[in-house]
Amino acid sequence: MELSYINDAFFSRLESLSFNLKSYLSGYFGGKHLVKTFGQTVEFADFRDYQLGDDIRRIDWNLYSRFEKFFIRLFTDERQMKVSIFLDVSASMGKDNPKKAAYATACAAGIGYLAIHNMDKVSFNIMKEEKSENKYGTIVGKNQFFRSIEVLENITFEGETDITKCILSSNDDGTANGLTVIISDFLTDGNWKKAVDYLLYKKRQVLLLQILTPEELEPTYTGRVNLIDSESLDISDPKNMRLRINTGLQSAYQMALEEFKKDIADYAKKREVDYISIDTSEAIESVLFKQLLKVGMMS
Amino acid sequence: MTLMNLIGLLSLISLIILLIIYILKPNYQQQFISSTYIWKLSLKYRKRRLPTSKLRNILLIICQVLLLLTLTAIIVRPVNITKETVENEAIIVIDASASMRTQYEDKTRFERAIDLVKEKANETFDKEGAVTVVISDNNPHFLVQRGTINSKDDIQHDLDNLKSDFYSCSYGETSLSDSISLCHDILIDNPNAHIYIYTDTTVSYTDDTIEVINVCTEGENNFAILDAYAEIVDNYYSFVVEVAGYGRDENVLVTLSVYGANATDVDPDGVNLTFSLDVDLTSDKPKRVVFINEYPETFNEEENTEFYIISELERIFSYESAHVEIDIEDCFNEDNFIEIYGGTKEDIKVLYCSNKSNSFFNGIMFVLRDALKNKYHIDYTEIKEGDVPYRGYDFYIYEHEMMPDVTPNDGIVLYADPQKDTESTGFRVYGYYDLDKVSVSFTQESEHPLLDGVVVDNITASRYTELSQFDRNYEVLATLNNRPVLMVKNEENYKIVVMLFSLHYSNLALLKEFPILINNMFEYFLPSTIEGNSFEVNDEVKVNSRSQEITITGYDETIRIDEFPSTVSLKLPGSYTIEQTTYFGKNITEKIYAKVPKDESNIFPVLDSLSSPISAVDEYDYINDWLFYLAIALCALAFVEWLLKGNESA
Repeated sequence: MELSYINDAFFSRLESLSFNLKSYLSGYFGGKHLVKTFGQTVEFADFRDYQLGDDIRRIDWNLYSRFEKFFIRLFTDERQMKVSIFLDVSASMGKDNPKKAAYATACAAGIGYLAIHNMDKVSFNIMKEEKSENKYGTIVGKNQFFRSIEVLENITFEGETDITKCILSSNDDGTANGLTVIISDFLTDGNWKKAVDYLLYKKRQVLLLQILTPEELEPTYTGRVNLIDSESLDISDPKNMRLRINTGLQSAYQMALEEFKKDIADYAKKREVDYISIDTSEAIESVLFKQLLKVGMMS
Repeated sequence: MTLMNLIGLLSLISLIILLIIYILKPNYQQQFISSTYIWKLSLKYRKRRLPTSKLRNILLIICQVLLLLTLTAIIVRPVNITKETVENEAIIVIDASASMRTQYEDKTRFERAIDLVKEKANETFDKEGAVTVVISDNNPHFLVQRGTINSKDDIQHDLDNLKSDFYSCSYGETSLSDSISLCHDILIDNPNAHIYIYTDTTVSYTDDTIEVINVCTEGENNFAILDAYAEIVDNYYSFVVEVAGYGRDENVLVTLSVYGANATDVDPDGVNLTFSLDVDLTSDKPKRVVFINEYPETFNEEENTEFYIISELERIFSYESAHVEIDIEDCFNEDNFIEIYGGTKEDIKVLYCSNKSNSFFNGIMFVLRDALKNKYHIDYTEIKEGDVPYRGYDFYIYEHEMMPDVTPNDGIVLYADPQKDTESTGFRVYGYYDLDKVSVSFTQESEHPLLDGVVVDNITASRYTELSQFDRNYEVLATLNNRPVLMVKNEENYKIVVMLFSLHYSNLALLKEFPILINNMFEYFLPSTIEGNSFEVNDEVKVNSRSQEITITGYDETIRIDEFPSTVSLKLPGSYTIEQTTYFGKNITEKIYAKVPKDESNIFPVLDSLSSPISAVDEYDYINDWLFYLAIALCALAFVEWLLKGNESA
């Protein structure tokens, strides 16, 4: 990839951040994420009545002397999560716009690094046409992560992507074990919401990261225009459009775009899914340091 | 309907091009985008097109078509010619320039022309035609406009009046082309009208619609003084006279009479001198006659020039007037003599009083005396001690403590660094203020003729004089630290300039602003009444004054002027006297001479061509009519727009 945001400086800036995930997740043993279950850490959490079978070493004898009743001391639990990143590599994500591709890749890498840095597991799922590829499997540790980055940087953005089919067919489908990030522009006729519903059914935390370019947010071309869709097969493809763009149509575009983003935002809110829409003209740091911070996924 | 410029129809081609551009559907520009998804969604938000918006889309082409049609109309100049309104219509132009006063056998060319015009008018009326008569003098005008047989008697009467009125033929020049242009509207109404020009000008080529009737006769001749003027050579006047003879070769005696020559205080009337020289005038060629003190170095190179050497005893350093004449009988007398004025200059007495005089005022006065030597004779007096005069000068300069008891009211007063109070100055001196050797720039406070060409910011001073009070009639021209440093008062009796700083503490004397400022005082308070002494008939003469009113007395009339500057047109040849009493009570009398225009002395003028009035006007319009340029500019803009549209489609 000619244009890339990924470099040592980029990762070093992420060192100081930590990932916050929701506490209902169960995850795996080890890790840094506090969960609502009780575990074996040294941090006190609560008391409960002694029950048969409990380890008598955890009885609080001080309380027994006061109440003549057995209480067990409970401690907080910390778990390791799995962050599954699904990256849309359709043509609309970067065939004609390398910056958008680089931006999406950098977001994926950035989130992945944050997870690794927080001792979580990461998997990069490249969503291509109707299936997702996971070349490196589950990544644990920075060495493995950096090797996987090379794959990310050499992705070719082409064709169409069916997000739903890609996610449903993915092997990466643990239950309540972490976060799933879907990075896409969501400019598709496919019903990607099904995929999100499936992930929620699997009790995973979901983050929708929408990448849009300034040209997509505010097209500047006017007059008689033949709009060639990057995912179209040829000039006669029905995806292509022939328009006479004037100020009226530009206003209609803005209204449609706002409606489109609002629809995603409403859906996400209803499902308690995090949704971030990014303009590639913004610095990549603003996504990681500001947007993720805003949705409470970072601290 | 007639189209005046058929070539203008070529602009219709651009209309065809425009229509072709719009008929051929322009190519759509290819725009590669990541996804058309939002565009598809936007279609449902697109407002339904109203019929007016469709109209708006084609409004551009409608406007462009209308614009092109308008431009075409402008260029082709369609006119609605009402043909055959009058079958026989004659447009008669009578040349009334000075050369038409040439008289032979008791009849001038002008009178002869009028007789011919009367015949032509009668002839036209007999054919039930119409007659228009244009008098072509310096201001061409209609005598009769489309007169018919019903007004025959009136026209005859008007033509007879022309003959009897001495002034109906002018002493100036005319333009036959302008006179013909006057008939343009008539020719538009009736293109069959024929133009007859009664003139003494030989026209080499004319249009079919124009007939030139030359009113010259055999035997006419004219000897003329074309020009005469005086110039100073080696501090003495020499006189140059240009003479010519037309229609006859003759030896002519040129006589120069100088009156009031070399007047002095001892002999205020001077002497009268006369010089004569025979000049052989042949082949209509002008010759120069130079009355000079000695042969110039270029004597051998001068062609068609004859010299008269004035003896040493008769050399002229001043004169009141000079009269030049040629003694010969010819057909046009008004150009046989000329008066030359300007041989005496007005005396301007300048007084400079200073207890610490500096060379700057001395120097500037010597420079001005040289620069203004053609207008004034500057008599400069300097007083360093003793009584301070306040009477009898035209320009007073008082510096430092040499202040008069009373402010003079018979001349211009310049107070430079005044250190004492004087009666009637209108200000009181408080003392000087020292800026501790720091030079501070002046600030200009008003636009005033005294500051023309003066960059006030360049002037600095490190000390200035403060006033405790000054009256409101002073206009402050410049300030330093918000204190006035240069003021002027221009009242009827008092014309005062106050410099509230010393030249010793200022850089003014080292700047070009100093001579400019002093010169501006002369220009502003002592303006020239008239620039020059010799003019041609009908010249616009600019007149200025140092009084409220001046009187110009000519041959037959007296003109009073009370608004200045003003312009006067001299209608008759001869001497004019300009008199005024200045604000300071000084009587000034100046004389000027208006002569017959040089070209009019040639009584056999030749003109290359006279074009058809319509085409002549059209040609004029093409050059000067802004509509034509507007049309071209709009056409160019339309093409630029198409070009841009083409690029957009590519």
